[in-house]
Amino acid sequence: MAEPMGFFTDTTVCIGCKACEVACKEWNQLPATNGGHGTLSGDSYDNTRQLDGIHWRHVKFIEQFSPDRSQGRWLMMSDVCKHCVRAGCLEVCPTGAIIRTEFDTVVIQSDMCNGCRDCIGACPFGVIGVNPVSGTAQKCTLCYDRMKVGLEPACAKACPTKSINFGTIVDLKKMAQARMGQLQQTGETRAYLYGDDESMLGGLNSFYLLVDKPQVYGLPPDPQLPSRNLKASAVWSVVGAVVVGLMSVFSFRNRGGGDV
Amino acid sequence: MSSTFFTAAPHWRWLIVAYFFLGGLAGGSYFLATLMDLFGKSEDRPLVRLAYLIAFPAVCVCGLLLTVDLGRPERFWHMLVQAQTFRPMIKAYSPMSIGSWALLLFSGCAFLSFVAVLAERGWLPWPPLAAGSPGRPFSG
Repeated sequence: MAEPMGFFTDTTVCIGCKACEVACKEWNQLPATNGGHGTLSGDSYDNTRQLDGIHWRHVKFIEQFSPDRSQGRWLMMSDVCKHCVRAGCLEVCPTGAIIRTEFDTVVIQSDMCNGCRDCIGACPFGVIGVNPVSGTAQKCTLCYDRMKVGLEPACAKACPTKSINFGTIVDLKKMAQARMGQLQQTGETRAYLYGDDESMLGGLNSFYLLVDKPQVYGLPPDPQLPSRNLKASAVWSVVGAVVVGLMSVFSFRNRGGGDV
Repeated sequence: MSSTFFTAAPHWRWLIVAYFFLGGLAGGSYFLATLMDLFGKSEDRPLVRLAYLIAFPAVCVCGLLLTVDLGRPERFWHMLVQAQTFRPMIKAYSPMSIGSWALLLFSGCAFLSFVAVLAERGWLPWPPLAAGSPGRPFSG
């Protein structure tokens, strides 16, 4: 197995140019929204709106103002699949189409996926969607095809400000710590890393440097695996079956043939 | 704040709603029929037969609804067979994988019970199975 690879996205230097979105769409040959007849969202410069089957990179624009609107701040963040070390999508996929690659990334094999959409609900980050052209669930592959031949992913290649960094997880963590130190020195004390350690789903292979709460960026503060529900759900199912069974036994107990 | 607010909806719409209704109907019918079959009196027999006759067609429609709802319906078998190795595809920790197998096994049982009722009533064209007296009306 090759070394675990991933992204470190430093949101503090993102300028919202969406070059990553374009590069991703071009390389992966993703179709346009609504046949190219897009509409404006009215939500800042964000007309992509969300990550889904045909948007594998999504630049979020978060406008923050003080109550009197004299102060303002614009947060930009290029969102992508987190390639979780413990991945919810991989866990629930009933066809085995979702695999973990030799680069420790999570890839949906489009020729095996049958479009059941279980993974869409299982992803704690809302990353996956159906690509209407293929009829299958799709998301970022961390450019598995490019990595196979030693190239970096298209988005990281296109990013003009090095907001998107690609490399081995070990190198990226060093890079992130160095950047954190730099920001601390300049007085940006709100900066922190999201998903860089194992406490979050075993670690996110695509982790972020953020300067506000995760919720502000539309990220879950405490993402969980869908399997956390399995035991309780199984117990309640059995309890339900027993109750229904007992009720039916008792209600049919005294019935004669006449009233059937 | 719950982490679930950040997930996307899988867009399981009325096909899946209808599946749950019919699946419940099939499962409930079969469950009650089995209880009456095992513990009931002979008067219960018509109801047992009726429930078995409902369960199998209902579960057939269930399978159709689930298949049609897939993004790629022709690949429905990928739920049961690994499409590259052709080995059985079972994940004990994936509810949908378990559900697919449960549905398959239940369909098999429901089919056998359905055929048994047909044979009991003598509605089967195949003589060895048609043990009952043919043409007798379905009555209590």
